[in-house]
Amino acid sequence: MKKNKMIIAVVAVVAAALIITAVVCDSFFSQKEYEDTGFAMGAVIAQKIKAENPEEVAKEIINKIRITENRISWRIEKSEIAKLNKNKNAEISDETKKYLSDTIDVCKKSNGAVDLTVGNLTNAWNIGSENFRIPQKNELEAIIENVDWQKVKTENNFVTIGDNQSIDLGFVGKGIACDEAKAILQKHQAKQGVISVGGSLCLFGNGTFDIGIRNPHGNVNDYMAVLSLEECFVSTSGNYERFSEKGGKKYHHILSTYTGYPVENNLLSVTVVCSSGLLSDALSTACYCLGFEKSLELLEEYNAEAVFIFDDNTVKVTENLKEKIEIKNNEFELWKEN
Amino acid sequence: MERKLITKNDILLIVAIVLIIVISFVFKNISNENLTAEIYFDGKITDTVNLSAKEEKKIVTGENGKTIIEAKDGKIYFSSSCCKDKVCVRSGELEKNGDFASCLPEKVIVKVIGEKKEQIDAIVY
Repeated sequence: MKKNKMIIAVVAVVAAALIITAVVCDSFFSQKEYEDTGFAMGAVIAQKIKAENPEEVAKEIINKIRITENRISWRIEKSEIAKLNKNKNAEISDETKKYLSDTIDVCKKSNGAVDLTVGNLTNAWNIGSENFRIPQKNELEAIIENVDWQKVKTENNFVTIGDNQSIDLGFVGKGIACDEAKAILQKHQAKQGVISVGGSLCLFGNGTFDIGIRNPHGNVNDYMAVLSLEECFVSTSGNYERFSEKGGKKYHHILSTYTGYPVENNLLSVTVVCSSGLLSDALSTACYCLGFEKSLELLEEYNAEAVFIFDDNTVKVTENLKEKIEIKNNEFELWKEN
Repeated sequence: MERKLITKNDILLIVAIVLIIVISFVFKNISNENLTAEIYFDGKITDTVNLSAKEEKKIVTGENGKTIIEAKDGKIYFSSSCCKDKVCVRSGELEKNGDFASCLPEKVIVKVIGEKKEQIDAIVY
């Protein structure tokens, strides 16, 4: 019958159309994004970008990060921060001023658990470098007496610090770089971007991103859980990141502003998710120093979420991440409230 | 004689179409892995190793020319480096799409890339 043949023909055409659509969509979704890897801020910058001009965007991002590094790194002799550390006062750019005031806000709200005037303490230890040494207790006591963000005074673009102080923005630098990456992605109306500045992430664009949280016991490609996140910033502080060893003891790089020694508690790492790169970076360090209980209020203050990994391999997660985390390694266990 | 709604040939055609779809998907997702390791020095690609073909290679690179990367059995790793921290050597063997290791002091990066979609978008560390 003619009618039946017609039906078959229609079905065939529809089927063919569906197949073509599927193939086109598939190639559309698996469209190769542009990837780029480079160095800046003493870290690997890994970028995955979907945009009309991804190569140009990636280049602009790494250049911007290098410019910022040259402004805020105390290690770079001509940087604004190095000048400030040397002369105890300096004229700074508007951008550096903004970074300083945002950082000071976290120092204040964390009760000095993180403090930008920690420079002399960092320098006394030199953890992770060939100049590592274990300072004397009285030396550390003298240093931490001068670790005090309240002595940093800003008037317009002129900053002064205490005579025995020096600034170290190491705990916010990578986060700042992530913020700058986002601004550039936005400017170019990029479709999507995943920018890693030494492991601190800027997730940009529509859709969800699957982010692995590094296994604190494993190597750099080993993750123990996956977070499904929308556009945001993510940063982790852990005791495995950078450390030195002496006499069979490990000294990790997160120094307590209260004792002068590496923070000793039951945490392996803290991962913070929030809407600012600088904040995610600063808060991950602050929460690592404060421990789980004391961190909760601080996180709430900034509308941030966090994942805490403890040394008995339990994992505690703040409320809004509970639905978004999936443990991938059965050595770890999500802590359940009774 | 009344003609059937669907003839034998029609069934054959449908089966063939379904088979083509299934085979192409399976092929795309399994056999097209094609893992390659890319070696970067100072941000520029200097070497590649075909991991899927189990290519064996020893690469000497780095700022001081003393960083050694070895590939065999489809895996690639930093076997030694003159850096102090040895983070690169501790990174271990790289073998799956997206795996990554670096020697910051020597400005060397090794990255594994493949055609299959990576399981995650990034690792936060």
